[in-house]
Amino acid sequence: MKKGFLILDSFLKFQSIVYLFIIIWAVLIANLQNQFTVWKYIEKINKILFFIYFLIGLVSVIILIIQILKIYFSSDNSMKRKVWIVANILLYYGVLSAVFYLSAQFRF
Amino acid sequence: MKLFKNILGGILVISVLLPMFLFLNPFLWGMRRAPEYIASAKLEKVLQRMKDEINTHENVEIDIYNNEASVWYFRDCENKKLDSLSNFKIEISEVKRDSFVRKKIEKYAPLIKKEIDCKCYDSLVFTYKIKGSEFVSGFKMK
Repeated sequence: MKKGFLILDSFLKFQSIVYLFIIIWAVLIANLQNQFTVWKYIEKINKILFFIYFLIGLVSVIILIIQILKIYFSSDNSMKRKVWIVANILLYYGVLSAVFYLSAQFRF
Repeated sequence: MKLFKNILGGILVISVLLPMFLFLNPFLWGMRRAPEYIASAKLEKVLQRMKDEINTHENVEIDIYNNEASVWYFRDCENKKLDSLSNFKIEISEVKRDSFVRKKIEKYAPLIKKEIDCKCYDSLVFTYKIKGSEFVSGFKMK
């Protein structure tokens, strides 16, 4: 079976970095609210980022399921990838929480 | 071994899909909680001292969560875009002696004002209900 790019180590790494970035952004907004308010475009930026992060959350479902099917339901025996997928699922929970938090940071 | 691997895969697929019941639930988005006012450690200390002093003769709770605290309120305040400033509300639960509580409020109002961001609030508004009375007392301090 031909391996898709979705289960390449480099893609898994990229995926984790994206998830971590979203989580760190939400944590920064939550903890340094007063500093962020100084910059007048922050609300607009948060609004745009929210929609991008929301889409990433939705696309992640498809990507993660494809990755699970390709790694757990095939002859791929790489332990590293199996663990990495679980780590990415945990980060994905963080992303969903971060999106919920961001939605409270701008006016609809 | 293969069966175990498949079961694990199945659990992982479910664990990815389950949060979507929350994420794509319109009711949850509609009901998201507005950000509450979170007091600074210093303000909390002052309020605790005030509460302890009042509670030598009463048994009250002091709440300040019901204040304007959203990120955009402070941003608009910084940029002078607000039409009017909000009051900083301090809600004290039911009290027995009006004059005693008033004295304590007069004593602690300047300390509270010092600890909050006064630039973004107009006045301090203290409200409390007197036991046995229907009315809610409240007064404003500039």
